[in-house]
Amino acid sequence: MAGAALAARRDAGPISASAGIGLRFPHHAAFLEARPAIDWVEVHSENYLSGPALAVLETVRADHAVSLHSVALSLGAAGGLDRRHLSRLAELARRIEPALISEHLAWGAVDHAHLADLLPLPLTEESLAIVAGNVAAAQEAMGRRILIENPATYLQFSHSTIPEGEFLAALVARTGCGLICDVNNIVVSAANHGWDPRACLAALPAAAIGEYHLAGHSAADGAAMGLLLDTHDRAVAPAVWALFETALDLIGPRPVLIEWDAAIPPLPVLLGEAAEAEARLAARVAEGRDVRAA
Amino acid sequence: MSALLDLQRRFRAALLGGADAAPPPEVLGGLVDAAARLAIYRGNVIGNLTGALRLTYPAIERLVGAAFFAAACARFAVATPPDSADLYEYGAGFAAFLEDFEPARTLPYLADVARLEFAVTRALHAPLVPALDAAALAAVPAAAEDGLRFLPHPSLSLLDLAHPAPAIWEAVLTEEPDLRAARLGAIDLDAGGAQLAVLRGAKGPALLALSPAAFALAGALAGGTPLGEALDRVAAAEAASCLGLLLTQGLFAGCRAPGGPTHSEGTIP
Repeated sequence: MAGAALAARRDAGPISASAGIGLRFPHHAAFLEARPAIDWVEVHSENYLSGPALAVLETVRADHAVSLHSVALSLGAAGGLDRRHLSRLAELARRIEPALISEHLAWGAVDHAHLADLLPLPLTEESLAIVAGNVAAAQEAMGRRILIENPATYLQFSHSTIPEGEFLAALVARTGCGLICDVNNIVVSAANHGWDPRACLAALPAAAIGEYHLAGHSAADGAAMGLLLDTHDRAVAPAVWALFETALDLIGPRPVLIEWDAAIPPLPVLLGEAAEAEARLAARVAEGRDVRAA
Repeated sequence: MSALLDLQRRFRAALLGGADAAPPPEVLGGLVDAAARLAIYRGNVIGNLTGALRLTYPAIERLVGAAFFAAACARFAVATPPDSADLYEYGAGFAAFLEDFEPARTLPYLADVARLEFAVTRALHAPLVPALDAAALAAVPAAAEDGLRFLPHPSLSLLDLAHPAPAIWEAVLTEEPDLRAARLGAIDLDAGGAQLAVLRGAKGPALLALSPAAFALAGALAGGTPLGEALDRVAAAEAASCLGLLLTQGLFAGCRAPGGPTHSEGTIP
């Protein structure tokens, strides 16, 4: 029976340059009911490690490609990776046969305390060596290349010496990893640090980019007024759609994900955002550009 | 020590050190000052950990109210950040924290309700492992029975509660307000406690009230005591029926005779 189920699965091959959605718990029932005509979904790996959520993901996997996007591996941890968590993520990947596996350029754990957030790194040669070592260890445990996402950050460190795009390019060169180009994160970080968003895009090594992320953000108030927050609680902002078009110019079509993690709307709203991304991709694919993920 | 590890330790201390904790001096300000930038991360960390506790402890939140709950979570989170990347495992110490939390002293049953909720979360998110089929025991030679050790089902918690936590839990999570009030009003807080097995049932968590003998046997077997020794701790008249109950209710995922193979129904995460 298990063999038949596996044989009926969508293959584990690359995702086409199409739009997918972040699958979240409130949409499980609606998604299984509607079986929307999208090729792929992305999930936060930590929410699907066991139990009924894993069973839902295996059901979804029969018809859809899956991208496993972890949030708590803490690739920037100076103390090294949490081996128990890494082995659980590798076991999940073995079961799900994802088309993509990804994490963030961030840290979230120190001295066995997990802080449940994507915390910023000083961008130094020391950090680069630590992150590269951790990415290599993760890729070895997974037995494959992973994608690393450019983060949304709210602060910088005075001793940083490497611009973020250069840091990510060096990480690609050292480890053979790929990248997620999170367009919303570029808009957020650029606003928060006075960077030029187009220059941020141009600094990323295009050939390494295997996926785009799009999401909504919000404006901070109070003492942090003037900063943008990576809240994923609303529709994709016009500035993010505009920078996505620039990314399509500079980098080309790739699988593109709509993320919505708070104030989650009904599934059709999310699928509507995906359709918008799909239309923008389709216009470029019609121009005859490369349609496969790098 | 690496400079990055040192920075991460200081960053953690600033995140968990309260609103007045200064950011590490390496944090740049600018348009918005360094403290306000760090405070965004502090808010995210406390908010995310509070969110994880809210998923595990909905009855506690209803019993104490949202503001009290958020304040208690923030205190707990900075004192006890998760030691696992899997936030479903977070909050094992919340019941003990509530027991010592001065503002909660007037609600002595709160910690027991928290113990029950943690067990319920464990039951819901544990690996989907089939329960040991009582028939599998038939394969065990009679001579090996006394040495048999049982593997507790991963969804199982055994709770020895001093207060009527199951009734409080069920009542407070009733959605319909009038019915909720009626159920809460009917609870006798002096009704005493319960000895429970909590595990995953066919439709959500199963709360199984156990007799003192069955609870003692379950505890001994789940703790790895060999069957013969565990049964000797139970009155002979009750031993067989207690064991039968535990097996048919699915408290165990496997068993192993000394030197023999493990009998189980498979291991599915």
